[in-house]
Amino acid sequence: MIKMNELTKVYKDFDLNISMEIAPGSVVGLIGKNGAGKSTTIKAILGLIRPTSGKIEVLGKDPMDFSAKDREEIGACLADSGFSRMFYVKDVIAVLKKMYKDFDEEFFRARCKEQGLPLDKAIGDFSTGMKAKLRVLTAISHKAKLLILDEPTSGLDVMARNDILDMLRAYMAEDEERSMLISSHISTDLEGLCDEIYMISNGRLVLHEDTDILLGKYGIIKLSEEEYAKLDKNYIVSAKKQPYGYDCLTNEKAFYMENYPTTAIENSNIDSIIILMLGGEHTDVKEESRS
Amino acid sequence: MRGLIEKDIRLLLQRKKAMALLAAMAVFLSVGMDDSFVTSYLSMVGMVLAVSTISYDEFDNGHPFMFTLPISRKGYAAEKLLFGSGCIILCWLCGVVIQCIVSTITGKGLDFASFLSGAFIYLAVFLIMLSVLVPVELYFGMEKARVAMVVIFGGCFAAGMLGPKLANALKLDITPVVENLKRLPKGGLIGGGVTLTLAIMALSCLIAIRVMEKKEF
Repeated sequence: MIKMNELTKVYKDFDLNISMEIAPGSVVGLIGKNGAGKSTTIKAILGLIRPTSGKIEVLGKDPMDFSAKDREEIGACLADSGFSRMFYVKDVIAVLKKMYKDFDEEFFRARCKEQGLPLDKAIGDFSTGMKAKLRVLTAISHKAKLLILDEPTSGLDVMARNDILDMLRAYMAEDEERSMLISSHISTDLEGLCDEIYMISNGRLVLHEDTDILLGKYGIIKLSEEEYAKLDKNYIVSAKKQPYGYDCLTNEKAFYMENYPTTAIENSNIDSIIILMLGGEHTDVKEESRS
Repeated sequence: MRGLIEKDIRLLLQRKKAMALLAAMAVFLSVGMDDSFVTSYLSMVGMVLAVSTISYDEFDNGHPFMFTLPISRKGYAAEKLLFGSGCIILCWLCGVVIQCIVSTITGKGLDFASFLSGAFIYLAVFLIMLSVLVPVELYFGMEKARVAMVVIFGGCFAAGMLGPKLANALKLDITPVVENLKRLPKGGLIGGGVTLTLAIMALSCLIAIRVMEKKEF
């Protein structure tokens, strides 16, 4: 569905360099801090920006060469961009009907009713949650093969987030060939939804792993300075200095549980992985291992 | 293209009251003004309304989302010119009809041939203005385009004012050129005017497409 090979985009104060692959039928999460390059990656995939170098193929084509027909295969939702605030939902329906050959008006109206989106109220008067739901509904209402969603749940309360995630799950369950790339900084949303996770920081890919492996095999080892000095660091992905010693992220939790039975090892979640990989000061584990 | 036109029509319909007020003003002003006023006024209104849809598209960072919809950059640029031309022609037709009705009701009489030839000149002028405004608005964006337009139209005005003086200073006599033009057959003049207008519109469309193809959102 998506192939990005050494794709770069250079700005004055930021540059992105990323490779990524999304197979048919997969749900992929893109995580990272604010300003990490998630939105730039998504814009490159949607053909909204021209890459500086590298190769990108979306549904077998360079997104900059997409025709109107090609775009019908993609459902997109951007965090800070949507239909005019002067439009009513009924205007949106009329426009989408003319834009998409496969627009499912009945589905769209039913979901609007279900989600409490009035047809005769200006979008500008919608709450943040209502606007987000409308953006997602727009993306999933025309039988798109590929969904590209940039922060669809950002700024929403837990109920609104849940409603949106439920809509996405239902959409993906309808056809197993459909794929989705979703960016978010709310990791719990991605844990329950994605098959794979790409983590980016400062425009670079720092981690790519199956969600099951991240949650099952990764763990956090809490160590004193002395314990850390003696630790076999072959399976340590990242270490962070703490007042009591070190927090280490491992991708082989079982190895340390077996070989260091008295050490405190916690299950990881995506938040803790982000904190350990991207937040605060890090110790160069590989360098330490060599010395 | 159909979706874009639907979107633009619906954007304009959000301002029904303003449009009704402008139309009422046109009828009111047509009574006291000269024959060509309503046609030119309404054509200008049509042009301004059409160009304003570009600003509405851009407003609130709307462009990135819009270009994820099934439209091409080329199609968007072409639609803006097509929609703008449609608006101008529709408003121009309304102007012609209003002027005819008002002249009949007030009984002030209308030299139809002279009125219509003047009206067609206005139509061409506003289509040419649209051809300038669309690429400028697309290239500079909502804010900077205002400054660019002041510079462009100010430049045209200055050229119009200073041109004859410059010709005098350089001792160029343009009277024979004007006289020769007047002697040309009417059919040739109309054909030339139509060809020139269409050529400018085609050039504008090519520039607008190029601008859109280079844009990033």
